[in-house]
Amino acid sequence: MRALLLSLVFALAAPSLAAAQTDTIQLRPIDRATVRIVSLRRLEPLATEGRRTHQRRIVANALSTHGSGVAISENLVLTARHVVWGADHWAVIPPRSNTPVAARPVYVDLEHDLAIVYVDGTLPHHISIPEPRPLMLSEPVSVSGYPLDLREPIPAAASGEVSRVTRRGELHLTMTVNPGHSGGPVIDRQGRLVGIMSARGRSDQGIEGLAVAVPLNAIVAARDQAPPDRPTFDQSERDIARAIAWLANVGDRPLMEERADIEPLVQRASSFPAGDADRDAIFAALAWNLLNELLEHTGANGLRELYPNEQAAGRQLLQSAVSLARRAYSVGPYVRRRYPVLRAVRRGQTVAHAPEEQR
Amino acid sequence: MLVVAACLALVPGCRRRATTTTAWGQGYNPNAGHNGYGQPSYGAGGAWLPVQPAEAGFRCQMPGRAEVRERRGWAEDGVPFRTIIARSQMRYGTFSIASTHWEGGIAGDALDQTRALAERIAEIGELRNREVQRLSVPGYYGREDTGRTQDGAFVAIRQFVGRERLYVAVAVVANEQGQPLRAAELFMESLQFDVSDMILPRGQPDIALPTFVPEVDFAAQMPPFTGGDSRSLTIADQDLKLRSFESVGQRTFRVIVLEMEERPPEGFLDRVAAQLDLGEAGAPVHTSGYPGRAYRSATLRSHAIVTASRVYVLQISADEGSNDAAEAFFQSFRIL
Repeated sequence: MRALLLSLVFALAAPSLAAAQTDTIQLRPIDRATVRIVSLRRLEPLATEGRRTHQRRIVANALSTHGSGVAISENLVLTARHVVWGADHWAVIPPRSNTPVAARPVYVDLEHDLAIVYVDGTLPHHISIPEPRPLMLSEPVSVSGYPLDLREPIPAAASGEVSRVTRRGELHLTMTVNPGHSGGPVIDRQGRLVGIMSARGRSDQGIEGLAVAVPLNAIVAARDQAPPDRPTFDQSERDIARAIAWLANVGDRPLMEERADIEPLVQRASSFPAGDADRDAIFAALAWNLLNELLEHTGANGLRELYPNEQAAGRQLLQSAVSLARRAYSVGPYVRRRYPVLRAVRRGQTVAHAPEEQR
Repeated sequence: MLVVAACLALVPGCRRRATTTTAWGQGYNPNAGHNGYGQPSYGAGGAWLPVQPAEAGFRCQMPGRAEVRERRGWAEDGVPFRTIIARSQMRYGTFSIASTHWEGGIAGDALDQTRALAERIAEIGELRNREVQRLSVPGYYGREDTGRTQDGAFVAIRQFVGRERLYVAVAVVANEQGQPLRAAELFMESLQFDVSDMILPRGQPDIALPTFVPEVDFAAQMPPFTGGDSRSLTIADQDLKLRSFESVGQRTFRVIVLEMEERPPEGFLDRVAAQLDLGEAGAPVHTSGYPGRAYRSATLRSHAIVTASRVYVLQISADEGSNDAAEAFFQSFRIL
């Protein structure tokens, strides 16, 4: 009887314990304004073996980079320049969310590692940029950001202190940071912005525990130089931002669980007029990956082995993937460089031949 | 020979730019006094015969009678490929060329693939005294790697990247002055490629086409190139390599690429603008997330963009009515 009561207590307590764990971390105002920024660089072919079918399949592997940024108005995000460079499509994800919004740099600083990104829509929280003030050596500071794992929806904090300001104007901090912290806000004890995280010392060069930030006076100058005009986003860009988030696995969920949202976007991409090779390539890859997940989910080697009620959907995904891949191929020769997976996708062969020579 | 076998085995499906330009080894200088593409008149141990396998996309001259064969297979991404190999073996050396075509053409970073292939061949052949040189072949990217085997045989590997095919030519000749090296030179100089496979498009002047220059990592919509330049210069104590690609028709389109060994110092873009006479500085601009600035002179509108190791200068005529064309050109530009 006692054992039954105890098990009942724990059964009832389990959900509450789970809820309590997520509530044990409270976000500071700076954390609520700190966002993830994802850039898509390449879509490469990745050979995998189906979990159920054991068939060799080629899927699109998104090579993306991510960093952090801080909202300085309801639609402007301040980040590090190197978080946005080298890409032509970006997505911004607010904290406690996996829903991306389209974003585009409006200002990239020539001299400092700073950029200002404009987002589609309204961010729920932002901070103001204070007036620069002298910092005290050894003054405690902390940084907010999304180190290491893009899938984490809540920013991580790291703490340290002001080490010095170099003759080149860099703010050196005694702090351990990791990839993904770049672009994140550095704040003082009062939660006021003092810098933007830029780099860390390289341990292979014997440098330990050093983080480099862009100081506030450079941030103020960048803000003042940023052009006032703001871009507009069309549906295509909004869809691309969502596709990037799916391909980069921001939500850490199989595509099959997002299928109801993905399929309409793929169909819409197919209906847009030709001319945007990046959009076509991204949606070709997304449709292809979803198709392969569908096949594996049902243990089907090919479309014909799908359940009858899934065959139409499978055919639609295949048709979209192949036609978008071929369309992208025809528009821009750089497509093959940036999206090499399309060479396989355009063939429409969901089971891939192993690399070998014919005898 | 081991090196040739290694080349032929590695060519299909195999994986830093050849930026080093060095002098040729003595006795082998394909750029000096060559007779164009193939005039077999040297009787270097056998008559030189034309070799032009069907659907291979190349032709050349080889000593003796070349053996031609074909290999088919599948690449890592499951895409079928076909390699056509022509090979001629003489007493003093072996000459071969392989042309590989993948369904869907070359994907990924082709220049990185050529570098990796050259490194792999050099490793297998244990080549010493290696030298690397970029080749100037209109419409294609080309590189040459040369070296010596352990027993002193001279090895030359030329790779050309087209739109659909990769061409790998190898000459391995005996360690003798004169005839063998001259034969290697003649073979390499005789190579010709199907113009339809050129990376850089040919077309009507003044009609913008998708253009991709893999060697300096940019893509843009611009008319076919009519000329260009390649030289060295110094700006702010930095030694730079300048390459330009231009299309001169009703309007002038030009892309200048400056390559640097070190990160650009503060204020570098202003100095570049002054040296290249870009004119009055305008608003900040950015391309592919990289920062830059707009400039305007009496005749040209420019955008100068800075990356970690390069400055890209995009230029277009500043005539009346060119605003739309300029915006289209600047918007189409990508740094890959």
